[in-house]
Amino acid sequence: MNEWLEFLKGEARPLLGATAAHLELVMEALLLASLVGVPVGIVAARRPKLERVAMGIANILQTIPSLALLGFLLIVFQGRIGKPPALAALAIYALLPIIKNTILGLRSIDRGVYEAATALGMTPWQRLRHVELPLAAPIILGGVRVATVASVGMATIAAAIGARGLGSYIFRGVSLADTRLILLGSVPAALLALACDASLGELERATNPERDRRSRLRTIAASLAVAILVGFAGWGWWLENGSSGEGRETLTIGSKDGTEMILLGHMLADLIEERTPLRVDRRFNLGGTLVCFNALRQGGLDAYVEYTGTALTVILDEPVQTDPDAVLGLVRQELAARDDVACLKPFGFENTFALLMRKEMVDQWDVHTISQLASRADELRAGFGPEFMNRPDGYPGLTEAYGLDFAIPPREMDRNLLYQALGRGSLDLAAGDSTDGRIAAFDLVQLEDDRRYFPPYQAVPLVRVETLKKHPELRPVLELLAGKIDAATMRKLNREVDEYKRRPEDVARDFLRRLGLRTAPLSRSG
Amino acid sequence: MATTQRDPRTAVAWEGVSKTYPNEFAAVRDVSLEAREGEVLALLGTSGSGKTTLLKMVNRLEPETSGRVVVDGKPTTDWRPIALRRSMGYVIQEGGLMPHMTILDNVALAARIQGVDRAPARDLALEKLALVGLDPVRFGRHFPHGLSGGQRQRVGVARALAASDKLILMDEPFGALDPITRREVQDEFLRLQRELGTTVILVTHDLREACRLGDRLALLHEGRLLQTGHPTDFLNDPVDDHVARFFRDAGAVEIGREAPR
Repeated sequence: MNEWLEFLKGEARPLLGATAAHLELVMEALLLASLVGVPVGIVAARRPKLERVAMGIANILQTIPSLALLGFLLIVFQGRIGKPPALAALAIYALLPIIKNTILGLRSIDRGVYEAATALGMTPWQRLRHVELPLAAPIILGGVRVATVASVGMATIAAAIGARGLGSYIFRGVSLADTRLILLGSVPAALLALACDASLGELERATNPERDRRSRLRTIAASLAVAILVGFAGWGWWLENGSSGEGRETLTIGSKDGTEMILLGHMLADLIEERTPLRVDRRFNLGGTLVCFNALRQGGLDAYVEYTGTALTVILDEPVQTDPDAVLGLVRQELAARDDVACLKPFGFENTFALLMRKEMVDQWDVHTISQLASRADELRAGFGPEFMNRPDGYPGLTEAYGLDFAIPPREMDRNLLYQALGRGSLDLAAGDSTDGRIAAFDLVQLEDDRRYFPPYQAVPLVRVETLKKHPELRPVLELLAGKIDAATMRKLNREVDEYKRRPEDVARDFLRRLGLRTAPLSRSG
Repeated sequence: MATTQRDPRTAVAWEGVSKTYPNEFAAVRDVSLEAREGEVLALLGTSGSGKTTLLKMVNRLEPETSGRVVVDGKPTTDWRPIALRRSMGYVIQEGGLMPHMTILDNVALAARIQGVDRAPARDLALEKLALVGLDPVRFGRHFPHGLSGGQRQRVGVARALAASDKLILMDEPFGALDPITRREVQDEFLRLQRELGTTVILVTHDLREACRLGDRLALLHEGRLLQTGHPTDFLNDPVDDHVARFFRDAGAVEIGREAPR
């Protein structure tokens, strides 16, 4: 219990900020959706042909899976991560209920009232403003309320493309298998949804012309609640935009998901902040290689850490190679020529895919290499991450190289959940990262890659050439860690976060400090 | 139909008007009729007779497909529709009140949409409410749903008067009221109409109402005008069997005597 309180106390301020940012994102999206949806609804309510078209489009947009939509919008927004694509995605989902209810609300107006308004000599605009919209307001507001509640939930997913908000807690919690972080993200999100639902619902009743006249007090209370929510969101906006002042230039450092990437991201960001006058905007835990790389190429990010093997196969779409130096050289040359991206010196460790099993099972079966697995593959329940399942140097090549024949089709699941699933016995075999701290934490064993199938992946900072030209002092700073982190060190650092639940920013800071690269005092937590 | 030579006392004239819908249904067929200034003209007929269509031609809610309607000496096609509608009052069943506005705002609405300031519009509304016998202090801040049917109907009349006390169109205005209230509101309305000299065109299917309120009746059937005249003309001198039957079936025996029960 005490531990919980301590944890909450440490996170209170950033959590409040994230909640405000979350609400602000939702409100901006709803404002945008209303500005588009209500006029479209008004026009569509008068023209049945247009209604079919508008509703058809809104319906189709609604059915696009959220991650697919985010991915698509990332391309539309030319790799700009964070708010713009997230805002667009939320607004697109909010459109349908708003258009639908606007049409419904306008259609529900009593014929007699409509005719009386026309017969009074109202212009169409006067009729709309003084009669139709006020009478349709409760139903339109109902649509806005439904959309708001859905958006509060949806906005958590937007963390995958670097939008601020509660989603970053949930994503971090999932990737670190830390329930506290997941709760920290989802409980405030649920409370926000409830608060929005209640206050907008009350406002909806207040706009009903046949309301009970005595409910004035409740109307005031509802307006006050909405005002507080708007104020809170305003604070979130100010945190993001207003307080960054002083005209110092800001670099955006990103990271892929996973503890290791977040740790390295913090280290680079800390070094820049400590040793240059630049500020750093940290957009960590982004959803995948291509999200990060496209953002980097198009200027949404200035730098992030990538593995050379991944750059070779996923970004450059080249065949697998096993010589680390050859891979690094090829990647460096190609990225510079093709994408104007510089590949700096590696950190010094190699991270490769690792096939993992529980220690007790390894002992029982007496298998130590992947080749030994081939004869018993038909009994195995395997699980792999989506990237591994689809990469040429992942699952397809693996089965071929070792002649593995899984009788039970492997489960495809989030790679961060694999360690847990394996440790708890719901899987027998999983692919993980060789430097992952959870290998030790869950008492797992890495099977030897005796046919040298998996290419070695070195971690390197990728930086925009444009950024390096503009800030020549940056390269030496980003290469301060070159060759300083070996595999054992990396595994230890990962374990600090994964098993001992320390905050990644603290672990990164303490490590820099121990290397003498940072003067700030050691953190007290953990 | 070239009666361009206008009777100075004609308020509204239908000149050979027809209304045919795109599906070729003819709601009104070649009707010529006039409403004189200061009179109550009752358009009488069963449902589907075209009486409401005829009424709605006057404020162009239902434009005629041939012929023309002349209001205040000018064909309605020469009026701006908005200006035309603002020059007359319009009352429908239950009053057609705005449910989201107070009684006072409802009555003031006619003036407000024409750009009259809040204060004078309010004064006008207070005056018209008093005219129809509703205490503005007591009812002004109520919403329509808090009023009885009779009260709502009075508000509807007050709003029409606020728009114009020269010409008022009424479509089955008292249809939703119970007989006793209806009688009361009708009497009051008649008194008011006489006092103000308002021209009223009234649509009704209720023969008794037509006879009680109408200075002249126009009987319509299947879009055609069968006969116009004073109520007694219909009894004494029906133009054909249909007119005679209509009056007999509707229990018109009492009409001549202005039948109280």
